Amino acid sequence: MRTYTPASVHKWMIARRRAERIALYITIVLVCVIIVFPLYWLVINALIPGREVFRYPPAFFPSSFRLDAYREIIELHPILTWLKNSIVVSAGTVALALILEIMGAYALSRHGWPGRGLLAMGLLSTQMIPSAVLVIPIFVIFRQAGLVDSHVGLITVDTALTVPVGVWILKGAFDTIPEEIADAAFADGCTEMGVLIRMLLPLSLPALVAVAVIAFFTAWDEFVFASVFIISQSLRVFSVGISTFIGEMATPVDLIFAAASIFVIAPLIFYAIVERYLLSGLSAGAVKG
Amino acid sequence: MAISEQSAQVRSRPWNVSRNVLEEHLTALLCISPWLIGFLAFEIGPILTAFWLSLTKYNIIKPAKFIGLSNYQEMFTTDKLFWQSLKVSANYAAGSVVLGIVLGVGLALLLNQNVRGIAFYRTGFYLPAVVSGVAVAYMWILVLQQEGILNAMLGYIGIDGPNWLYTREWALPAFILMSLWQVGGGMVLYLAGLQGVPTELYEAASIDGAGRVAKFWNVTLPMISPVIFFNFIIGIIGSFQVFTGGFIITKGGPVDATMFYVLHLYFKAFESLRMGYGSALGVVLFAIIMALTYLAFRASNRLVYYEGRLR
Repeated sequence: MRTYTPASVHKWMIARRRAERIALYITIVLVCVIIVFPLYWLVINALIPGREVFRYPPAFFPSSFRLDAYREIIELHPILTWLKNSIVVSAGTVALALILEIMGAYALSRHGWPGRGLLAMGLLSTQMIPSAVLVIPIFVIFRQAGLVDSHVGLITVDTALTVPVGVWILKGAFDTIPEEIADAAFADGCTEMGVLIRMLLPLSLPALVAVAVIAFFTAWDEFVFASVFIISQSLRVFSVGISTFIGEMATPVDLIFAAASIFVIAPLIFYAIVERYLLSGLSAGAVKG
Repeated sequence: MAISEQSAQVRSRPWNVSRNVLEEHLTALLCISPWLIGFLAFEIGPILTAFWLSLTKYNIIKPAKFIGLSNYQEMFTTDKLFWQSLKVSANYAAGSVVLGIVLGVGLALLLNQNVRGIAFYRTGFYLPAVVSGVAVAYMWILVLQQEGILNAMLGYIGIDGPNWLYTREWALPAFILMSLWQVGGGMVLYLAGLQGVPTELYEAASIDGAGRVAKFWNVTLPMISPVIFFNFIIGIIGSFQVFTGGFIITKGGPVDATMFYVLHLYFKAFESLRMGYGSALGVVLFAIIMALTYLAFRASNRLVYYEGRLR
């Protein structure tokens, strides 16, 4: 029968702990690979010659690359126009949404006015209204108002879709800033606008970045409104433009994947730049809320 | 407790006593008014319009004609696709939300283990949440088709994978799988929740002789239950609105196996040009989501633990 001395038990525990950590890292890395792989695969398939796309078994590291698919898609299809339209709509949405969100969040967070709680509830409850319910009436209303088939119309809708979440996150960030800071500034003769611009906004930078990113992606990915509201070819945004490929059987698959990877990579670059702010800003608002 | 009471007092203190109260309320009103106008123009107005349109026959070209409740009558009696789409969306919501929560919490627990390089992995996990929509739909066609990469990998371990997207029984599970790929969005929030759990609670539990499993059930889970609840509500609302993937990949097929509710609505409204009927479908969807949210909030009183509830 084996005896357990304190020393041997200690050794055994250390070994066990080390094994656990190794297992932990392997799991984490594996999950990361599984998550990133499909994106990698999309890009790779746009880079390899068309006939290799359906090769079985597939080549994880293709032997030869070519950029032809990207060149062809840009020459044959108005990809660049779509890209430009998407950027215009997304940037417009970010700008408009930020203004409205800052004003709304400031009012909800900083003033003890009556009816504030009720409005905050109303704000949250708009999240429950499915955009599918709104698309028909807004289309009908916009048609009367002549806002169909314009980027302005689309920007307004995208802004309306993103503002409730944005106000909520920003309000959470503003709430965490002690009122004493603002009080001190007022005592020094600072105006309310000055306090907002010089104190609140810099102090809630992560949350601002987070809501800007959310606004950007809301507009960038939005599909239903964009497909219904934009009629002219020249005004089409990327998400709708790219969806027309699937119907045209003549479009070679590697071209489709090239277009899709452009659509994915553009926001990824944006995400990579602001990632640090985004995640902390997001979680600050949500956990508090 | 004493500390939280004190901070509650500080918070309820008037914002700035010396300034004119009326002026202050006006500023607030001014700040909130653009959003309020937007709220009326893009939420309340359209909802009321949708209610009205749902009682009419309207194809955009001819003026709307009032027909009472016959749209609803048609929906509940003769429109088989209504029931089918409801079933598809409900199954999808159940599968994607429940599995999404389990997986999201699981991943958050992994990353919360004092892991080195956490920021890097967190970014990786979150990546899919920022790429979505049409391009991702194409990505999944590439991965899940019969000769796709997933089946190739399953082939290596001796499994003969199905044609995921285009067979009746596998299409919906495939869509649930796609939703799980984006679980990182929720995971970030769980992770933030986990990092907010006070370590004293774990120490106290250890002294009481709690093991890891007991700590998870009795400390971790109650402490992050508000975040889980938040994600649950958002998830249910979101999954009933799924559209793009189905529209791009399957158009509702095969044999209506992926005819999501909103897909059905879209086809009725914008392809058959039946705006009235589409609006009626929308109103019913709104009612369903309201009902589910109400039930969830009722249940949350018993299931969700809020710190400092006394506030």
